[in-house]
Amino acid sequence: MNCRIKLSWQVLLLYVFALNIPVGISATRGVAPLERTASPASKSSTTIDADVMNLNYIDHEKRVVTFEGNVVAVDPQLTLKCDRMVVYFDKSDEATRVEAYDHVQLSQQGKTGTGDKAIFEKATGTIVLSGIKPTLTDEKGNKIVSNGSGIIYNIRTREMKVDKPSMDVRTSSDTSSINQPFTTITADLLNYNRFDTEKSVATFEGNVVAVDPQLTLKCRKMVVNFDRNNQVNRVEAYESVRMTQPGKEGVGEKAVFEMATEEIVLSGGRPTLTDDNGYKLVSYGKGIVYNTRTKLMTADKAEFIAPVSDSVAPMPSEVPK
Amino acid sequence: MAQSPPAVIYFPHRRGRLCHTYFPSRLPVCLISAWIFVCLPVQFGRHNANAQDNISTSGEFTKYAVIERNREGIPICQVAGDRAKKRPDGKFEIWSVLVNTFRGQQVDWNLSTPHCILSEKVNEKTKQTEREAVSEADVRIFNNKIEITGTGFHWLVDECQFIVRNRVRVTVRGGITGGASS
Repeated sequence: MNCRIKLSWQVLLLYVFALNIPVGISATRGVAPLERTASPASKSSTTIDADVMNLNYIDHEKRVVTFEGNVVAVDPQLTLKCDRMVVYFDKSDEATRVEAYDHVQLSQQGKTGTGDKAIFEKATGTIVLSGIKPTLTDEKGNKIVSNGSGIIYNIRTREMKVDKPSMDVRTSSDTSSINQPFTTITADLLNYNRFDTEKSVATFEGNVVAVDPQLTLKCRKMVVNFDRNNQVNRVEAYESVRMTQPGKEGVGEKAVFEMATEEIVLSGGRPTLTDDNGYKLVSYGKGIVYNTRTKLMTADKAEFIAPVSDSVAPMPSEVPK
Repeated sequence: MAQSPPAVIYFPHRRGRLCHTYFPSRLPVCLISAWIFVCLPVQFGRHNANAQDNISTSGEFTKYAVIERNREGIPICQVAGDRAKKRPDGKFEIWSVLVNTFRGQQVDWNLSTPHCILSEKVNEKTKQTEREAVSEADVRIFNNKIEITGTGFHWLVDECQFIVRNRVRVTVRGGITGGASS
């Protein structure tokens, strides 16, 4: 009986205190928040620092938070700096869209993107970097500039599209010096895929022009393969390939440059070399191979054609084997 | 020792006796009953009041609490403070402030700050009364997903806007881009 009485007392007290806990807070704090929250900080959180913030919650379906002045957003995926940023949240307070304006700088694992404007859409996972010549730079100094509408990067697939790209890459095998010359590649469109940590591929399409210290290459499509250190290890040029050096021009349907051998193989559609004096070298076999280091040239099943002229023209400086 | 007859508490929603006890326990039972049936309604009722019940002779309020509801009775926001004072200019100065804004019946945003000044003015264009709270003190605005801290804020009550003016830090739980880096 005593036990039952005590138990009943406990139930009664529990009932009373359960009723009065919020009121107790009300008595001391003046009001009882119906919802208590934990601190949201964690490793997967995004932290945004700024001078000024404006939170608009008038729309229950959509929240708009505007940041101004020295905005720095640190996310698990990337870091963003800009002068002004607008973040849109849905009714669940999930961010759906981020707009960054003025002096936008995005950085991720050694790569930096700069532009006037960046838009992130969570539904698609894409970031569009635009404005005046948005630029991406990696830790090796390789640089991609969009001369068109901008750079679109998908943070999920790690795929990147660049409109009217201009890409500066180092094609030399010597990675020790930062003063190595760049190869600049321009095109109508660049599609960049980072398949994994070992390999990434940049595909240029439409009016591709690659200007190297040694030669200039024009084609319709070019595929540049990078190794894990973002070093070019293979370049493939397709369709209407035209390579020029001072005094020489090579034409074919395909050209492949291998970094390991430092050789360019021109093939497809009867690859032909022509010099300024009119001498021609045509390969009817596997193609023409040119070593960029030794300057030696070999041609498979080749025909050497001299110009038809009354005067005696000098022989080409590099006679094919 | 002679025992007094048992005291019995009946609850209308229950049949029969809830508990039996003896005379020495009557006093706490009575106190608790009084607390339930008298204090609770008073304290709940204060939410809709203007804290007039705690006004002192100096014009200061203690345990200041005001809740605003729309015509349907749904809460819009509530402002509370440990202490409040009406200034000669008509503005309310509040200390240890806790603000809740509501979305439906649920608390939407919580705001806490050591001090703020609550005021209202008539907009010359719209002829509407607009209320605002300003402070130079530190502020924390938070809900389950988002936490905002900073120094100095401006709360435009009718426009549903919080403006934090200095050293803003916002933490979004779960990340904006949606998870940890691969």
